[in-house]
Amino acid sequence: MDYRLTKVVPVHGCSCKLPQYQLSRLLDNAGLSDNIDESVLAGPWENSSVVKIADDVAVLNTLDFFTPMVDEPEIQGRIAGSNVTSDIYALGVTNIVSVLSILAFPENMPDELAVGMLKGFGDFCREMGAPVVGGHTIRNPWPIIGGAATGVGDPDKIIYTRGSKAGDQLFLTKPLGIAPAMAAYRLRKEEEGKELLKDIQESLIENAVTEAIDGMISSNKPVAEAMQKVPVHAATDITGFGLTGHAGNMASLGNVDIVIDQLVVIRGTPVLAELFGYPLLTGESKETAGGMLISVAKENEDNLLDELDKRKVRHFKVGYVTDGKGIVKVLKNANVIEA
Amino acid sequence: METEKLDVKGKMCPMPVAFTKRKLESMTSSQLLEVVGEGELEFDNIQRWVKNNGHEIIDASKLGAEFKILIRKR
Repeated sequence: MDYRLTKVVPVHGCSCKLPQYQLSRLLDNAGLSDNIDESVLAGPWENSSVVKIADDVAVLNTLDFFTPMVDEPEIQGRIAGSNVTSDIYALGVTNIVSVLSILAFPENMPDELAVGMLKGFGDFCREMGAPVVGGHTIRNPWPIIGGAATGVGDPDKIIYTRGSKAGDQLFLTKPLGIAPAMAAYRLRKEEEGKELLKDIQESLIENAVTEAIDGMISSNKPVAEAMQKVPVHAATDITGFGLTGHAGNMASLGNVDIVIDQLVVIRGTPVLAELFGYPLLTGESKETAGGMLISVAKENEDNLLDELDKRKVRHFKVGYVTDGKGIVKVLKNANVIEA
Repeated sequence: METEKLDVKGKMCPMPVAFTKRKLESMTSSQLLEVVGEGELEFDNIQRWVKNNGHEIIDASKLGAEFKILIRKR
């Protein structure tokens, strides 16, 4: 098929997310920065909104959609499903009661690609026990896939991005580097791109691309299950704002500082990031359907890692939390591990 | 010293930044590079990369969808 999903859009996956400063300005100007009611336990700067509807029931809502990362429609649908559901799992809630899909595509896009994206999205959500119960589909110059998810949880057990405490250890559950890996995926289909990549071993590129796609379609649900077993102070998934952007949110909402002393990246991505000029080794590179960043007290660290191990979730220590004023620092001599 | 030129119009992300980077690496310190391209995203991406990597933006302008960025290599 000639039609390539990634070729018809200028930005891919969570890279199309509006930068934080722009989003902040928009919300401020629209009067939507603050929570409107005391029943709203979490608003715009959390991964999902949380509204308490009874003493022991909170409803979580999230909406997430983006442009294609890959040309294979079913895989693209799965990536979108993983990204949408992750915003509920990030709060330690595993009960997603319904999902609505959002699909947009131009008139010249073959229907089978639209079907493939929807199928991948629906299959992924169903496998997570999160049924797709409806949705909305429009014509649009860019293909878009995603959805809105509704979760239900106990208000007292929800884990927020806020809540980190000095002395906490920080763990990440997927290596970084989606953007450079997927840029290589696109470039190696283009003559000019192949020329740009000519000095890099094909096996290294292949590994990076495979790991990146496998990572994106791996659900964060087992991470949420593990976080339900151990007292965790704060968590967020890592997507379009990159590690430093999301860790920065965690720091500012928790009124602490965060120090990143180790960057764990997909094998092969540092050389690709250097070639493309991506800020991977400063922790700023954008991620799509990334892992969870978890802030846990040192005394609960072993228990958390045991629970992650039981569920075969990879985990990497990336930093720690100190007293402070909401700043995230990536140490200049941070250890870089290619996993 | 002659101003080098680079046209990145119509190139898929991340080629505009990657080609700008590669071109600057082949130049000598203080030499000027004029990059012409298109799209808001690439206009921002190239300038961000240039600033983050210690080079100097002498001028950046847009005319319709196209842009021109003049860079001094450090």
